[in-house]
Amino acid sequence: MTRHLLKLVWNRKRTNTLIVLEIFCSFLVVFGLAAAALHFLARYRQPLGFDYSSVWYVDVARNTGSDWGDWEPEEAATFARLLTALESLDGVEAAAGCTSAPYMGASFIHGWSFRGQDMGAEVSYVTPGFIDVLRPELVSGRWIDAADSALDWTAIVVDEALAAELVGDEDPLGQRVTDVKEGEDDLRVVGVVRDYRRGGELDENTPYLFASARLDRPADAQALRTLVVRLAPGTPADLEQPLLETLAAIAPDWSFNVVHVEQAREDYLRAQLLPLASLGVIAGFLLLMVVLGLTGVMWQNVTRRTREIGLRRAAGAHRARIQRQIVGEVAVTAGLGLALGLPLVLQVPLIGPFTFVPFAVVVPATIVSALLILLLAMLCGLYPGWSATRIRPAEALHYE
Amino acid sequence: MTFADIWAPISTAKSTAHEEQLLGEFQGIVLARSRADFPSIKSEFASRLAAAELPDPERYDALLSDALTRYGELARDALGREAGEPAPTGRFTLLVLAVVIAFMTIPALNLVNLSLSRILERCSEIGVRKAFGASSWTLVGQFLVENVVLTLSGGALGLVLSWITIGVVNASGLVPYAELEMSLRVFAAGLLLSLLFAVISGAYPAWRMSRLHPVEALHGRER
Repeated sequence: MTRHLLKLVWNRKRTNTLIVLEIFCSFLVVFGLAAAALHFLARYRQPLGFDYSSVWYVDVARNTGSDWGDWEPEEAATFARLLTALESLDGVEAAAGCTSAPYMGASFIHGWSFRGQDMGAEVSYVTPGFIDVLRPELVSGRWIDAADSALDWTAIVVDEALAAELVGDEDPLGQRVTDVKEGEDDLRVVGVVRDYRRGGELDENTPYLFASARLDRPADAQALRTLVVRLAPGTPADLEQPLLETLAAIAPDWSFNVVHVEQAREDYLRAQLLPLASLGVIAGFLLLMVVLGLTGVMWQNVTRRTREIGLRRAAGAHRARIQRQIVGEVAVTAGLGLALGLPLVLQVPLIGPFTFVPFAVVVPATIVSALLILLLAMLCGLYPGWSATRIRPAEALHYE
Repeated sequence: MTFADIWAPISTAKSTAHEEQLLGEFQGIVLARSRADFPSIKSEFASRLAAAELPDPERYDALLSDALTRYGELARDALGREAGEPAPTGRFTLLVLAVVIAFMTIPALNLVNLSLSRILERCSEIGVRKAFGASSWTLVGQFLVENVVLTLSGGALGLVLSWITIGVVNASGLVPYAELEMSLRVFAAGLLLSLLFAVISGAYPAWRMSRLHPVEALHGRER
């Protein structure tokens, strides 16, 4: 059957070449969108590593000094007072200081040295309460606690991605990491948390490190740029006003800016998905156009072959077989277009700029887009096929 | 990005840290006298930045920042370049063009296919006109004019549709702070582009038509 259909398609190769080309281009576009969507979906389905619901963060801008200037001891004391005041506020479940909060636009990537190897990893200096606010999930070891301030080394907690990069399968607990610039720094891993993806669901999973921030050490304290707050369940957004007033009462000349993390997440997702969504809408219109066009071409095709089809009917072919022939012909033509596209598309993970796209995304994207195109093409054959079955043999044989 | 619910003078901020700090929330915006001034603004910014003193040279090697156009920023973000690297506007433009061409090939091929079947449908009409002495060029001209008329009516439909789409996008809040308006200039460019497409995609079918043999065509058959 397929061989016979191929022959029929081949007999009208001039017209069909263009249809094959059109299918080929549509396939490439649908594949590109499907691959991008699946790529994002795969990232989206990875665990985030923190709980963003009912969390606010507060940007803190001190009044003096540059970013690099050490904190004055009284500034560190003010920061500590801000934290205590937040914790005792009605409706606040937990509060902590950190370098950067989830979905914040900026990231703080620092150079680290481990066993003589330099690497970059994003870092957040945190106070012990951080685990109660964003709830990163501890895998092994322990979280940073208040007693760490008394140590003569800095306690750090790494996420699984960084642990794997540091020691592979070995036990990361107790390993010593130093600062690239200040080689004598002594940071030791005390715990491992699940992959912490601060940037958000659609960002790449990059290595992450939490370091214990000591408010008495100016170099640590200056990295505390943000306060994070977990609200008790059911706390209304009205809390923002008293919260800001509390902060302003303690540090009247500092600036504070409250961001609701859930809102920041929505903005982030919208900004990330907008280009894909608009391309998707355009592609949807293009496919609609292809379906209409192909239906028109097939219909015309059937009209032109009235005699041929009439002859088949006269020779005893059943209506269902005529319908199947027409749908089959479109399917075979579309199949040729797909056959052109497949070898190209399956090479995507090997081609220069796209090597970051894994086969795990390309293979399902290929299957989904090929099936969609095939299905749409067959849909285009349905109506012309039906109208072909309406042809009466007696009239068709006289058709000129 | 330059949108906000409220614009407030910088002097109302309680903290004056932004006067000293290199890291922070602020972005500077420069209004150039003309586009021709962009390169000199960029080079002046770069030379001033190079002269800026690093607060802690022991810890930090370099301070990187760029004066970029909005398009340059878009290109840099899209291609994941770091500050300090030249904005890859050329590559970005190529990438956008490639996507646009990939998208536009489909309607173009679709149009060719449709035009072809329209011609074949009218095989006998063409045969009659040829038999009565119409030259190939007359027929090609007629066909192209038909194509243009169809495109223009499609354009009118497109005008209505884009008007509705703009209303929907504005109402949906999909793009924050978007107040999209109908731009005649963009619409005219779109119309011109589709006219171009109509003529180009009409060319091949018209050529096929001009080669139809009158006797064959009269029988409704293609050679």
